[in-house]
Amino acid sequence: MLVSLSKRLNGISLRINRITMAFACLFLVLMVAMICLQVIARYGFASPPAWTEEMARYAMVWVGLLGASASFHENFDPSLSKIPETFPRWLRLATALVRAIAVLVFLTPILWYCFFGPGANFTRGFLSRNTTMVAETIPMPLIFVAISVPIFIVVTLFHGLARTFSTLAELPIRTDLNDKSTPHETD
Amino acid sequence: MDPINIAFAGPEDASVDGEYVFAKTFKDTIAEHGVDVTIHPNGTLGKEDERLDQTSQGLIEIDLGSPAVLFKMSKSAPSLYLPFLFQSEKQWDDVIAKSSILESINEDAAKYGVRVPGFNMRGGLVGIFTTDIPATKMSDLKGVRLRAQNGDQIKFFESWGAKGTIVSFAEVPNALQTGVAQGYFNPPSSAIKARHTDMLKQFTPLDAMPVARVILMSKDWYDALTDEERGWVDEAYDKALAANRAWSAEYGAAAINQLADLGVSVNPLEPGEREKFVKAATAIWTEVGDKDVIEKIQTALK
Amino acid sequence: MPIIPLLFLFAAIMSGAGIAYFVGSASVIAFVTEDHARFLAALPQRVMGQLNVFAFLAMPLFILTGELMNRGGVTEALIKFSMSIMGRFKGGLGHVNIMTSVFFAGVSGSATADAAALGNTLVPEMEKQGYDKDYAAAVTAASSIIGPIIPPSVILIFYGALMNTSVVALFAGGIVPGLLLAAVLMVINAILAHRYDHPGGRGAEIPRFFPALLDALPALSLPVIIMSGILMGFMTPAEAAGLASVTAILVGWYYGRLKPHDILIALERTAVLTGAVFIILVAIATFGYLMSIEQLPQALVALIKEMDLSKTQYLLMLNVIFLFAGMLMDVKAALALLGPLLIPPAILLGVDPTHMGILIGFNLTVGLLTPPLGGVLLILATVLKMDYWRLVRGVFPFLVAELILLGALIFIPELTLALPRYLGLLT
Ligand code: NA
Ligand code: NA
Repeated sequence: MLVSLSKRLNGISLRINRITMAFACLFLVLMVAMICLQVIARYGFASPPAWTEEMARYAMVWVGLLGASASFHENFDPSLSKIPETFPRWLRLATALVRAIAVLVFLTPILWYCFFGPGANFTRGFLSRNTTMVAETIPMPLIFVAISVPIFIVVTLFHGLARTFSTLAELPIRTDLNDKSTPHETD
Repeated sequence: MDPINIAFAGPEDASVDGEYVFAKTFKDTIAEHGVDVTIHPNGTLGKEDERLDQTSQGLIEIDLGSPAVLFKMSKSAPSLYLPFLFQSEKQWDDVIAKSSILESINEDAAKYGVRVPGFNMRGGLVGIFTTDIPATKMSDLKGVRLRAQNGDQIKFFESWGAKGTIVSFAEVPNALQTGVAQGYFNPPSSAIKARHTDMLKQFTPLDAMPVARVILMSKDWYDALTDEERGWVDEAYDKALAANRAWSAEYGAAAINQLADLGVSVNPLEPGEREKFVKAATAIWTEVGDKDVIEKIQTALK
Repeated sequence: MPIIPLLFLFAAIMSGAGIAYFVGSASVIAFVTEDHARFLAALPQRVMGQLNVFAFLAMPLFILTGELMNRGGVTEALIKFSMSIMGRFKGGLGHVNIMTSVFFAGVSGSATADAAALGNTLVPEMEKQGYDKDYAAAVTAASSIIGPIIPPSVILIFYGALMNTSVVALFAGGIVPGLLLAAVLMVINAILAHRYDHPGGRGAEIPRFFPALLDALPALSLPVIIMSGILMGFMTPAEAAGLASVTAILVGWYYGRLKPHDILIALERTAVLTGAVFIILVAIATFGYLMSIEQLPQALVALIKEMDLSKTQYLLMLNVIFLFAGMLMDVKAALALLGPLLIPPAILLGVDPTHMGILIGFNLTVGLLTPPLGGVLLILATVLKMDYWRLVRGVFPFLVAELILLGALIFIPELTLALPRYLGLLT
């Protein structure tokens, strides 16, 4: 029962992650395209369009937040300690519980305030405010950027749920990023 | 009454920052009624968008912000910032007092839980700085690349025969050194404060507009005050605004005189040249601003 | 003392939670226990505000460029070219290792990417020629930190964005310290080569200079494009980074190594890596907001004023703090957490922001080579399947030299500032 539920959850988590990654790559390509367009326009025309830089920034926000959920799924987030497989089961469960609480405590308030404003009023929430506010250089409502925040949180919470079940059911965690042999960081 | 948070972008330095003068006067005035004010300088509570957001939610009671955040909420607001529409801070204040523009801005801002009581001034009037072009005629600016804050500014530069390129303020020194930009459209105080006067050696006073920043109050907070408390806030606001204007007049006048000491030549326009700038800018006002609002302003100016 | 958040912080760290998640969750708990819960409403906009930053644009693009380069056969071409210059000397492969890192640095903004790439390729080669593995790994580790000092550099972009300092000036400021670092490491390598009688030239095939140069030209064109584009003012760092990533694809195609699948993997890894960085940034911003509400920055500035330190004293203190931070923490986390608090008082005392940026960058990257959590050491130990502590011992002589160089950079600002000043990037 626990094993099959856990397998199911992790299967969905894996599929969601692939979709997330696909969109993250798309936004990254968009970002490169915007920047290159800006260079071409600077030297091809009198003055570069004003919106390339702003659009590139918004694409970057999407890349970053989708990438953050993928990074969580891939267990790529740097941490200060590792829990070895050889630890007793109760200790592994206890640490998994603390990790789950940490994710929940950090992300749930942000998610709540995406939807609700002062006095738990929906029309004053972060998303609602951004439906009418517009970008600086083109008349695009900022909701198209703001929505990335709750999407990141919901996806990450789901990955966290699936992973907690994996620990409970003692299943290995599957991730997508191959060739882990060349770990890399940005430092 | 609960303590009031005032947030702004600049330093706690009354000698260079007119918004701090406002905040400090507000704090000192309302202290007489035993109300505490915490001043958050240097954008410690967040950048412009973030402070707007916190004001909108009543987390910050008073935010001293950039016009760009006002533009996000109200379509009437950009019309106030058209070059050559206002020639002095007094004209600006008169129009705000006489016309209904502030009311229509407030109607828009109310949807975000924001009240806009008025504007702070930064001191001085906007002109054109260049690295090495002593412009005294509009034709001197032909093909000169000026640093722009946004696309609207580029339109005005192009109407004068110049070119525009958007560069963030942090990269302005680099842009000037490398020639990506050859100058910008700002008041003398901006160049002095940012120490750009090492590179910008020529200034042409255009008296194109005053430099107004916007005051934002949390509407939830203001509306929930008792009549007595609101009276204290209004009184402190009036005194603070008056202090800002007094500071601005003095600072604006001093700044342009300081330019010579810093090795910047001030090149007044030749007779008849300012009219050319005005004419070119006026022709494209409606591309940036709202036609009805501009008319309202012009009526109030008469 | 906020006991509850601190206890939870400790538990979360020990449980193996990601940096972003233990910083974020402990901060949220502190908002509640310190009676600031209503301010949590600012967080969604704070997430946006922290990420939607012009100066960050260059970061994912330079990461992407490095990823594409690694997959496109660039490392081999650079090694061969370095070999043709330094291969004949005693301890030649050690010099080659350092020199390759200099060229690599002009392409990549990351020390760990350098360490992983050369750990996979050059260390086995050095072993084959008779170096012991500890030494080969140690040279690789020590020279990898040239990467973030010579531009492009993710750390310097990060610093520029956080402290509102010109990234271009920082890039120019990193060039001389980066080359000095390479020179110092080569001196140590030469000394140790004589002491331990390392092989030099013999048995090794030294590639001829001009063919090797020709082969490496496409790879070497990248640093040239990046540096001249940015420093001569043709492009912003973000534009140069965008152009570099397109060039990297062309170069990889030229070497015939980059398949469409590789490009996809490079994109995916860049997205994940950017995400891992950004979420840390978001968490630190949450913590920073709490400190701002408590007016901690003002209190700290007041405290520093009270201590009445001279500019040099404060600078030294700052360097010690950042050195320890670099030993314990992720580089970007340390910078985001401590930078906005500790650096402004230094600027007020008259330290040049560009000088400061290079010192902090140098300082934090040295932390990648020190226990307990030296990022480069951890990666090399994993890639080479060797004992972590043996690597720590091997790096030690290089580390001492790097700290001496750091001291020189602190006391002689001109080492950093002369070039940006000459290029007219400083006011
Ligand atoms: Na580099
Ligand atoms: Na190396």
